[in-house]
Amino acid sequence: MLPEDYYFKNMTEDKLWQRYCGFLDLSMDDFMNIQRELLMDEIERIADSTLGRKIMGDRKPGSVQEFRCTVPLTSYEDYRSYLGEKQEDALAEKPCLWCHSSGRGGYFKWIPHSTEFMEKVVRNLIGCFILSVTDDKGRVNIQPGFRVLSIIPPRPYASGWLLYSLAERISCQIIPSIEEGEKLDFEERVQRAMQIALREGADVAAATSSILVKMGELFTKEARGVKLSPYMLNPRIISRLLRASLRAKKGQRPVLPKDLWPVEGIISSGMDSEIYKDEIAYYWGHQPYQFYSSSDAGFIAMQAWNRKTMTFIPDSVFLEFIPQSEQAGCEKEHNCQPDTVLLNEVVEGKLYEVVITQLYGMPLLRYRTNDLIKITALKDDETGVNLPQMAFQRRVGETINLASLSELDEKTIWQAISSTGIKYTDWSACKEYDGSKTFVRIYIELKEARGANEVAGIIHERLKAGDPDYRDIESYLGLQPIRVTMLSPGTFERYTIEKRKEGLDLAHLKPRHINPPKPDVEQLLQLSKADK
Amino acid sequence: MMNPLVNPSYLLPPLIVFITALVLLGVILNKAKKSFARMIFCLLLASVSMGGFLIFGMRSSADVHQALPWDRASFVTTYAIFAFFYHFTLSYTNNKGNRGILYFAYAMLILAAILGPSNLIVERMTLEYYGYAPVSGPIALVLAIIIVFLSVQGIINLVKYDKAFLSAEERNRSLYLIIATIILIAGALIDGFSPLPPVAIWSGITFCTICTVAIVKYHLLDIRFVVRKGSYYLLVSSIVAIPYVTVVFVLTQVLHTRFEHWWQYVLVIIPMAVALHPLYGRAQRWADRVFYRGRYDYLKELEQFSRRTQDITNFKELGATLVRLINGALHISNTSLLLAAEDGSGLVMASSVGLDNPPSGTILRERSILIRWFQSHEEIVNARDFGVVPELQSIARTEKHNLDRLNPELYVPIKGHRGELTGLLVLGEKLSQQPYFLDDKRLLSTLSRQISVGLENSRLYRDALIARKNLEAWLNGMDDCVVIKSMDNRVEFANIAAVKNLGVGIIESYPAVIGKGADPSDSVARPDNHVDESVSHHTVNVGDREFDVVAAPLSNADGTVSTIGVFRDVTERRRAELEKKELERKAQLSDRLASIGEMASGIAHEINNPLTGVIGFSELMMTKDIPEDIRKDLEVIHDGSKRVAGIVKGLLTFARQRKPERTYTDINQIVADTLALRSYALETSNIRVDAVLASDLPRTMADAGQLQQVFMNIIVNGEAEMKKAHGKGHFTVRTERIADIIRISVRDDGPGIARENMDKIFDPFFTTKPVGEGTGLGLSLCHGIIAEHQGRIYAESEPGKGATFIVELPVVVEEREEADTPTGGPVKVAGARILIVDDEPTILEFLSRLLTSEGHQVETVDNSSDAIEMIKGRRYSLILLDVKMPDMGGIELYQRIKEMAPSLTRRVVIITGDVAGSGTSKFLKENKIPYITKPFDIKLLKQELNRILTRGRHARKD
Repeated sequence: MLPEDYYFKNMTEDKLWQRYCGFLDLSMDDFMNIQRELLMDEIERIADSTLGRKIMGDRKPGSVQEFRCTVPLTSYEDYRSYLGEKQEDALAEKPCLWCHSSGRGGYFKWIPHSTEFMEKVVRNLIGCFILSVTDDKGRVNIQPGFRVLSIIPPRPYASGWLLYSLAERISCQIIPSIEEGEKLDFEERVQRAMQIALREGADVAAATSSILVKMGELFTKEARGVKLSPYMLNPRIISRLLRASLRAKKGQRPVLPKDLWPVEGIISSGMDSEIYKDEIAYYWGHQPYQFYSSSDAGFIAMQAWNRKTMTFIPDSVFLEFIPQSEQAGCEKEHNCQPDTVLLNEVVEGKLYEVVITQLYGMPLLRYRTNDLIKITALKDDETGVNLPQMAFQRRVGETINLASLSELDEKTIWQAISSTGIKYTDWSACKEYDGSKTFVRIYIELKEARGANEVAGIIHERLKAGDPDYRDIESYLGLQPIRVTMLSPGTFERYTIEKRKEGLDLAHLKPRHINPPKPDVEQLLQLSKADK
Repeated sequence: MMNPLVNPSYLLPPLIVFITALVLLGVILNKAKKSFARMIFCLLLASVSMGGFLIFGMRSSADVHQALPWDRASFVTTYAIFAFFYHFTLSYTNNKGNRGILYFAYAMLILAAILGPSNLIVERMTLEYYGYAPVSGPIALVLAIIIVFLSVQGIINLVKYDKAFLSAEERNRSLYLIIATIILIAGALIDGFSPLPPVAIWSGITFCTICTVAIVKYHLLDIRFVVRKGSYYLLVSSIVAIPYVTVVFVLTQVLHTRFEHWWQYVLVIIPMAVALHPLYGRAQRWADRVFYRGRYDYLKELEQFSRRTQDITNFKELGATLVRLINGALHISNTSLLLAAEDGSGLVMASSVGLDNPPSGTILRERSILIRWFQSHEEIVNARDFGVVPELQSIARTEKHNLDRLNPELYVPIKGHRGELTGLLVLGEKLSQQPYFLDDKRLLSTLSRQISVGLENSRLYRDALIARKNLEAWLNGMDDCVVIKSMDNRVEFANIAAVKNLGVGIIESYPAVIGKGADPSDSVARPDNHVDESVSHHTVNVGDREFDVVAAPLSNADGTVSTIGVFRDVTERRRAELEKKELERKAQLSDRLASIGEMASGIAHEINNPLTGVIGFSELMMTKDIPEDIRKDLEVIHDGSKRVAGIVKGLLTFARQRKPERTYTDINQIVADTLALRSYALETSNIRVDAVLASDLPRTMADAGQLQQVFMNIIVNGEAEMKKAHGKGHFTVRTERIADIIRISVRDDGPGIARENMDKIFDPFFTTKPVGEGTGLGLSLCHGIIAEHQGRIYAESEPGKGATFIVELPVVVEEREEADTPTGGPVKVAGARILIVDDEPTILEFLSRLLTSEGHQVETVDNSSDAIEMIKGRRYSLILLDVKMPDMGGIELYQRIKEMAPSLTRRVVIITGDVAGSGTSKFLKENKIPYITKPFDIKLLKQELNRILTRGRHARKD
């Protein structure tokens, strides 16, 4: 019996809920007690290790306060010489695995994970599954053996390891199987996943939002021209197709994934979840359940059963927050050590950069994630959660500042583009100067024929509607700051192919949405022209 | 036979069902957790309630026609009950399958509701001996089969659920539901397929009750426990009931002809029931023993343990006993007891049994998340809950490791009366490999409360003992005596100092002293057990010791009042105070006398200079050939001058001008000589003398002449006073040695010294004698002499009872100093060059003439400045310097001479009438300068000068 199966077999529903989702019932005091307990345990564990001594010095902090006062804020550069080489003897505990993480600017990172940490991460993932398939508190609607349709980066990425660890700790069917999936490239994996799911069905779908949308689109295309193939000569597939067809007819629309696989939950992470949630709901029947995680920290926060804002998890990492005011003051200063606050000190409506300290014997201490989150509320009355609620805002530095009047981040621009209703493939935006005037240049590849000025105008209007600060730009500067460059069809695809040829990592196959490096922009423009 | 339609036992049950189900519905809605299963169960209860109401309507109908519609409606609700029950089991067990059956069940419910009013289900009603009975229609059987099918399916769901769980609690809960359903089906089957009176209504009540209890409090009841114990008690009750019923039966048979009224039976039955009660108690204990089997003895022992924990002061022993008993009572592999550390550092291992290598020391730190959790939660925790409760999932690894070493299965918190965690029982798995059932947990919960009380008592007892020991140690460490006495004058406590200083016997006889002024009876005890503050201070003497006593009432916990007395030995303090007072008095006296001495010294100086001239010249003149009458006049002048010189000398003696010439002296001898000198006078004055002279009196360095003067003074004064008072008298003269002091006391039985004169008797010129009879210098001189001997003189007297003069002299051993002068008298020297420096012309003239007549070359000068010039210009054998001169005194001039030529200082002799002055005296002593005092005795002056000149020669020779 796998470890988590034991709990499902022996625990009542309320105890299962408590194990996997009980953090939602914690008080702030309980939360902070857990954080303190685990941090002090972590200090004990790593104090004598090479990396521990390097960061903390020889004097072991005796309290949370002392830890925060004496240990400096760190970045991956502080660890690169050890972790980049996977020097396990520098660590306090031998890791069970090393995760590969895409760093900024093409520098990837290796992060070690301990067995204990992975147990917690898997527990949180199961919590995600439970919460993603219920609308009521206390309802555990999944049982061992559940099927997960999964299109996520394979090992050694953290997500791949996560699925692998999940399968090691609870009976579940990963579609496609981990071993098979790792041998296939992305498109093949999507195809294979859909084939298997057609036969086996799926309880939960887990993928990034854009991929889910893409799968929906892809499926829609295929479903319109369904060609019989040998693998479809399966009673279960035929039955599924017939039922899906009936459902689609009833809804007077093409067959969608939700007709074939009435999955009970959709799990996705990433900023685009918020943007694509309606499309996902259209294709898959449910709005995506979101969480906030990273390969350094595992799960940091996740939504409750109402799938709105996210609640912090107490035992993944020790959490500190740099107020945006402090963080902004330090942006250009390398050695700056801004003050941090703890979760019980955050203020509603404020932005904070998340600082994590890994637990369970892992090495990252007071590690700046460069993620900006917003504390949306100090509690959630709807669910009765008494802990601060958050929403992911953006990466630090990924904004386009317009004359100090408005700061446009990826989410804002993306939402504006999406809300225009214009069908697009992808986009990328950066700041542009024209004399003394500042503009936002959006490079966009459309799936329909539109003029650049028209698109710019529509996006401008959408931004005005969605961002009050942006609204003032026109009146203050007397200009419309959006400029659009149309990219020829297939530009982004060609870009990906080029990058793959260059041997780049999965995470760098697409240009960044905000402030991409100049060479990337030039490459995009060249590829766009090449088509013409 | 009673008409069944008016029989309450026929009418009431459905009404009871109606009300009971409604109440349960309320309870469920109020208490049970919100869930879909709860909603379905509420529908089920609503159906049961509705069914009860409809059946009540049917049974209270006037005839079969009226009853028929009620019964048809009730049949539909009965079906609904089972449909909802099936749905409930699906929802409760989270069973996603068998939806088809569910839809079918609901479809049939709709059909039953539609067909209900027709005669297809209930065709008609008949009247049976117990009441109305339905005659089934053609579809009734089908519905009955569906009902049975749904019930069986429901039971299967529950059984599957039961088997799927290893958790004993879960299994128990589903077992509840299975039993409840079986009862329900049994009732329904009896009603449907047998001619027996209707029982389904009762089984419905039972069903509802059991289900509700299982859901609302599902983890509080253990069905196995209930069933097993219930069976035992049923057996016990049956055993007891047999004789009881037999007795009742016999009595009613025997007495029924005599008893006419029911209450007569009651009167007989009640005492009989009371009489049989002990039998029931005995049987119950037997059942307990059987039920608890092996645990029974341990449980009894545990019960006793909680009673006697207060007697166990050894915590280690307490813990060891406890874990042994629990381990035995519950048949556990191992048990550990963790207790709060005394220094508050967390929970430490107190005792364990069954562990091979138990950890020691601190198991859980003070701020451990587990301790915090137990402080806010009451429940017993299974070790596996550590993987469930979010807080417990985060226990630090080191602590988890510590706990794992205890081989834990169950954690039982032990809490103090303020809710704080005082201990933790960690139990291993049961030897039977069975999980801990609810009866175990309930037992442990009760035990933990008892243990908590026991531990608390034991801890308090220990703390009280420690506190008492500390208190005793503190009290015994005090130098003061502390005695506590009760109201009945019994000594309740006496510290070591009290026993040592006051003695046991004295303590026992002293309560009255302790309470004096602070006796509880003097205080007003208030109803709130407080005693008015009344602290008394007084002094008592115990033997030769004097104690200050502070006594105060103490209110005891039992409402009585004791008295505490603190005795402080002040003997030494008093003595020191007296000594200090005496010293102060002496210091005041010394100051006063010193002032007077200064004054006397000044006067003597002023008188001595002219007197030197008068005496000197009168002597010189008398050596010449002069007429006899003039000689006689000169003799009068000379005698008068000598008398004045005597007074001045007395003054200077008082002012310590003259240094005592100490020799190794026998004080007894001086006293004896003095008495001998006055023996005639005393005898003639009719004064008796008793001399008690210590034979072991040591000799001491003293000026015998001066001491004789002192004793003579005292004796003469006493003699005069006694004679004046009563013409006779009695002296007691005593010498004795007290430590290093020789004490001489002279006691007379004269009139004594008036109190107001006591402080003045040593003042110069103070006298009580008539003018002309005394100078008032006698006792002043005595004081001066004794002070110069580093002794003291004082008087004790009470008016009318005589006076005692006491002289105390230190015992000083002989000091042999190198003699300054060669032995033998001075040789006469002549021809020396002598310079005399004095501002007094008379002195210059006198000395010049005298020394010239002795053959010396004398030069005189009346001021220091000229003297310096002369000394610079000529070498003198001797330089006589007056101390007090107008512009530059003799001391300053001496310093200047020393600066010019230190060797010259050996030739300087000071002439002064002011040796008593502190500055002069100190100067002479420090520089060892020879001096001659004014007024001069010519003979003595010549001798002294010769001695100095001779010494100078010896020195030079050296």
